[in-house]
Amino acid sequence: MNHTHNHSSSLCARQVQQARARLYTQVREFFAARDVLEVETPIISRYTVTDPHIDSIEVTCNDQRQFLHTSPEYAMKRLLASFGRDIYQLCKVFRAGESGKFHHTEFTMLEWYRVGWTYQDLMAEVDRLVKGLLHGSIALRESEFIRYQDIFQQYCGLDPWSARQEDYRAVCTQADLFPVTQLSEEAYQALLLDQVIAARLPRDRLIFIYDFPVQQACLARISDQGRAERFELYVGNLELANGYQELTDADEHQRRFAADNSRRKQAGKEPLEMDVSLIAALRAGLPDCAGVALGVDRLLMLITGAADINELLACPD
Amino acid sequence: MAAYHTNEFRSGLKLILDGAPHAIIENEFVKPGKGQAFNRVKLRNLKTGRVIDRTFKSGESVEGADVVDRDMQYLYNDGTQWHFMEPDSYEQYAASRAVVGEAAQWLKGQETCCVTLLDGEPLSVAAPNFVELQITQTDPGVRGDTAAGGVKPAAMETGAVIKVPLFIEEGEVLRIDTRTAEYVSRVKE
Repeated sequence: MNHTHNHSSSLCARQVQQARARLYTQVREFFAARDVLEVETPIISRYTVTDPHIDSIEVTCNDQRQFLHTSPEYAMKRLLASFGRDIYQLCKVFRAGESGKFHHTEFTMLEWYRVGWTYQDLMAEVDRLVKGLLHGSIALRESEFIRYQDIFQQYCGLDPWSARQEDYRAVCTQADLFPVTQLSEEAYQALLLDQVIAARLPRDRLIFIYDFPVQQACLARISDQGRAERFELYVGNLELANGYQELTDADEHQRRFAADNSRRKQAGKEPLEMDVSLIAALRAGLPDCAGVALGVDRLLMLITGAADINELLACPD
Repeated sequence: MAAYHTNEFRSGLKLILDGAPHAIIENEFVKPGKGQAFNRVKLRNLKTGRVIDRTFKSGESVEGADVVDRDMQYLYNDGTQWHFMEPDSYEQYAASRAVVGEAAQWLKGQETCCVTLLDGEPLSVAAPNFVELQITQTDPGVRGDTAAGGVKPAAMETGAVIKVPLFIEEGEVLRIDTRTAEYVSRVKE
């Protein structure tokens, strides 16, 4: 996208900044009224996430190799372990190699944690907050809460717990999706959720998809029924938020981080040191809580009508 | 030829897919939530013109195609080979009738064409956007019929046949848009 001066972009830069400022004010009012504390954690850290699908930006700070955070999750969990009350943060996060209409390397995240809440409670709160923020921009109908298994059945005609390679391939072909190499089950599911299901979701409803396959648990707890207690919020094809019933067990964290690093090695990526400060905080005790991360720029796209996240950038290079 | 990583994908990039040279016409970055990222790409086969859809996992590499466009002067044809010359190097290239394709009907000699080379061999030829050709045959027009509207076929000196307004006469030189095969204007002496 060619950005010259303010005047030539389809969205006036001032309108964008005003919409952003309005949104931040509303977010702060929302949480102040609910006694959720705003916190600030470091952007630069010695440790970063081991997630095989996320590439962190490296910096050299004082002769030491450090990373820009991809989310404030680990730092906020350390705070939760330390003083166990509800917290939120609005901050910039960074993910290398993510660039497109809905992705930018640097973006703004709203992340918050509710101690003692279930992830269903938190979904309802996300619903309240986002409805309020979208008020006046989109005439929203009633929100929908649907299980991962059910939405796959509805839009792809397959059961993600039992579908085979051929079933996924068939749905892909029907949707003009032609993967060049063999995909894992997880990769098929991710591709179909984004390119088939999300592509067909209504743009005037908040759709919460919950209870994910175990391989996509990230740091969510796994239920007795073998489902990851995780949810995602979509409005149309835009994924806005990702939330969990947070995993609190330190050993399980270490197991998952080690598994992440194996997958990183398999993908030819460098394995990364686990965040020992996080592990220490988990051993001290993370209270039961539910947490969620919301992409503020994507929400702003819905509020301003921007078609491309780059339209929201102030002062592009 | 070097391989391209998915994060280098952009419109216009030339790749080898299924053994044939393709150009990327659309490239979409797809990354669902915390999952595997993909590039959803539309490509045109440079030999057949067919457009295909392919989804690449982020991180995959694809072989680049050694495809370049060069301006060359059309020299002549002997019925089976069309001969072109690069003006800077005087290097000559021969292209078959199939490779020259649609462009053949517009060429009489000396025109600057865009020749696409794959691994140094002509892959396709594009005639210049506009050519000036003389009409060799067309039915006489009705005198005074200068109003817009009616058209009649006219055969050009190269063999091309296009539609021209009724007032155009045999022997006239016309400016033609080769991209649309349409009459643009008469060329005044």
